[in-house]
Amino acid sequence: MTTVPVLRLTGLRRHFGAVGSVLHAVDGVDLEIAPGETLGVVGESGCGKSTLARLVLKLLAPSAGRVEIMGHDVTNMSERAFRPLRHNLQAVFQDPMSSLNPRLTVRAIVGEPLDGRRSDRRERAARVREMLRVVGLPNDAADRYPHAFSGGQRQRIAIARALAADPKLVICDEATSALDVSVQAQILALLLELQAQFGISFMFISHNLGAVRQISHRVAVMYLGRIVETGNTEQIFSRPAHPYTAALLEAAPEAELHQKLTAPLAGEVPSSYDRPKGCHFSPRCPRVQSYCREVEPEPLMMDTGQVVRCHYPEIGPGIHPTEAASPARYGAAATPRPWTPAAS
Amino acid sequence: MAGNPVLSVEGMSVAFQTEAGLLTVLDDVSFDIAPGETVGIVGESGSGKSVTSLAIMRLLGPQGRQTSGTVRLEGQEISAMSDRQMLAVRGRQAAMIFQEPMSSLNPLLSVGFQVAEVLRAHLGLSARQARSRVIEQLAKVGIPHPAARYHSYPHELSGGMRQRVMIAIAMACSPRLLIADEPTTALDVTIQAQILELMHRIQGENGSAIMLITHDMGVIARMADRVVVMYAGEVCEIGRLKDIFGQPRHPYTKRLLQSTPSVRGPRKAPAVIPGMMPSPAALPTGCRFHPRCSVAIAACLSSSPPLREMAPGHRARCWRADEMPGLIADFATAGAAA
Repeated sequence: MTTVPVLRLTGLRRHFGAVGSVLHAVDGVDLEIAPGETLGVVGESGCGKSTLARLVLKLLAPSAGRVEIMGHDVTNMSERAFRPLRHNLQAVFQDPMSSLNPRLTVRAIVGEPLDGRRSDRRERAARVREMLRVVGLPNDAADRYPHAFSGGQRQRIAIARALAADPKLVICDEATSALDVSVQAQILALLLELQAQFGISFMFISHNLGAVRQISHRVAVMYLGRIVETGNTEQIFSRPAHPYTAALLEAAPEAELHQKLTAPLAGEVPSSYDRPKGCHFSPRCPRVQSYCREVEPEPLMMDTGQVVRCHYPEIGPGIHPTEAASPARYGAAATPRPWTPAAS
Repeated sequence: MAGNPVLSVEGMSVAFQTEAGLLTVLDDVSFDIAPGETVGIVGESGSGKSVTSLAIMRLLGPQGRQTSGTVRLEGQEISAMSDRQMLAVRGRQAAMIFQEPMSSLNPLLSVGFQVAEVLRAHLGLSARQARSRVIEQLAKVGIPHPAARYHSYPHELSGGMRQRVMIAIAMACSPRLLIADEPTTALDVTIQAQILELMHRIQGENGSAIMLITHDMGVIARMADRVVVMYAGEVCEIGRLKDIFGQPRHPYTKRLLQSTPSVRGPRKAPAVIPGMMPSPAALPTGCRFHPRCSVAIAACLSSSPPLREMAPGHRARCWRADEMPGLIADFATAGAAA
């Protein structure tokens, strides 16, 4: 495919703190989002998903690596040079009450991204009306203030504001996490509809696996600043190759009868200041081998297209590592023992 | 039900004093919980599930009051108790844990002290006597190095560990009833699974009754023996877990199950329930759910359905509850169209 991705991250890193106590918030992330595509980013608190969002939005400067927006390297671009590109990137955050200015009317809020862009008053008013219609808010919403709306409606206002600038990529950082399930479903349906209509790309960051599954084409799973698995949504959900992905899916509550009550993982995510040696997941991994505690795994391509950072990924019917996974990769001394086919 | 219920709520209504007058937020709520049983109270924001728990604990605050009905804890009527008697009940016979342990724990006191406080207040133990019990209790809820952790302050612990401390406090006096209000909502899924497993294990050891309040049907599926579904201040359906999940008789229950995205089952499109929960100040006429209901008929607009028994222990507040199994097709199409 020759289309230019709306977002390409290469070796992106962001560290916090000084020598001696460094927090690796984002540690070498590579990913791409194609036009009209939704990439779901999942992981638990502290995995670096929100830092990743802030790096993409240029709200935070990376320590290393490259951010390309629609083919332009914006990593070290000045704010002035970046301005013409800025409108392509918009964001919707978790709590609309804190991301919407309570002292502005909805008209001013939704119209704000148009500031500094050529548009006269009438065009601008028309654009605001159009956006409110698109997100399903009544026309008279424009004259009211955020407090007059419910949580779901406020999130619609935030989406209208994001869309007003005609973006190519909208970063949704836990955008539906504060909403009730029925309202979450409304917002997810709206995002899908907007994508079909305008061809927008989404980076949908959430800890809610079910919501991610409903909206994403591809999914990236993060753990301690790294992407440990990426792949097509259905592949990831039906045949996770990384034991962390598998554990996340198993831990997620499912609204069905006969659910298991045993927690799939013991312990908690280690501190990002003091990450475990070897594979960062090894202390919690139910399938850890001694090799995992010594050597950090490199990304490994599976024949399903999944890329997994694991020495011993899940293999079985229909999912195998490609050539690169041959034992030679690790050296003869540490020939990996592959999984016996999945117990599930 | 075998044995006397630990908690029995009958016809409870609650109203709050507002600028606009007395506002009824809970209307004729009845359910009970047997020893060792977990009853899930599920509903969305504004359904009245948290007010139910606060009313049971008599924690409604100066603006709120119970306007009718009775609440019995192990046969004793809570509403007839003096404030002083209530102090002895809370923490001893019935305890609560909340969503955000950071705001329930005192940031200035060590966690050990806070667990000990309960033992000292209710069992009259000295600080020294309480200490070993506390360490035992911290170990029981899975806190590593409990003796060292005794002196930790809440900010030094992770969210999951704080919730374990809350559980240690709540279970310190082995209460007959544990009310857990969204206990895992703020936690990551792997930690949530650990906390739910812990609650279940402790219940097995103590035989406590658990009232689990959540908006998450997945948490309900994992934990509850019976389920109370609430909508706009009313119980709209109540029954055993397998009745509620297998044969929901209220359209709201059905929709709530549909709109919960699946992680391990088949992928489904977002199932939208149009509209939103009405405010208690502007309730619709007739059935409170009818403006959002895809199978509403004329009767639903004009008269409010009673909670009717569909099967032993399974009650639903819907005029079309009998027809629900046959209406499943309506739900399938509406869900797919969304």
